[in-house]
Amino acid sequence: MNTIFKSSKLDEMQEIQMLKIEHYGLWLAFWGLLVITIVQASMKAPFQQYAAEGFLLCVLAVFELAASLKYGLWDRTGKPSLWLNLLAAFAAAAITGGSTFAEQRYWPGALFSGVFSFLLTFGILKFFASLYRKRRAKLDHVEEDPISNEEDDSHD
Amino acid sequence: MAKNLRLKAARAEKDMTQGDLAEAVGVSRQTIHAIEKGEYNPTIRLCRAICRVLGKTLDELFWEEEETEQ
Repeated sequence: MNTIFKSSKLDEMQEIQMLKIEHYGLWLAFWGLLVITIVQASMKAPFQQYAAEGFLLCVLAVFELAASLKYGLWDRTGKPSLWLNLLAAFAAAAITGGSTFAEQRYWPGALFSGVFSFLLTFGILKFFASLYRKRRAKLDHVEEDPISNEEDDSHD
Repeated sequence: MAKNLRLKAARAEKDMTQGDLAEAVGVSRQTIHAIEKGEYNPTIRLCRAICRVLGKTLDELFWEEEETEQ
């Protein structure tokens, strides 16, 4: 990673601009892939047709999650909370339950699907929120370097 | 962010163009232009490099009184 940055021909402002471009590019790819995957699935396309998009979407999601947890980051706008987890789980339940009902017109199946999605989403969010809190606590309790060492760093 | 007219004045004192200053501190002219226009907030490392080249202190070039800060 350091080798890449050392060979960069960009100055600090250009580096920030490049990171912003890459940031927007990543989220465009992420949401674009999500929409493409959902549209193809809802049009009953064979799974093989959108498997690659789905796989790439999963890779992006896992990468984002793992990298965010590594640096103890959750979201720009807030921290994980029980209400947000419940809301997200409820949204997942409504989407899966609703789509199952629309597809099969069989309400017990739709209910089961919704409840299962709710529990799964809530459990996953709760699990990763606890990992985030542990990581955050660890990063916030790193011991300071002794002052004598800092003096050596004052020369460029 | 307000325009950094003190930086522009200090550069003019040394008879340097934006390109000269950019080359001296190892950034692009676009970056120096953005700093002077108040469009980019440089890192402390770049501020120090600029101060060294222009023979000024950080306070002289980059300190802003509270009422002028946004």
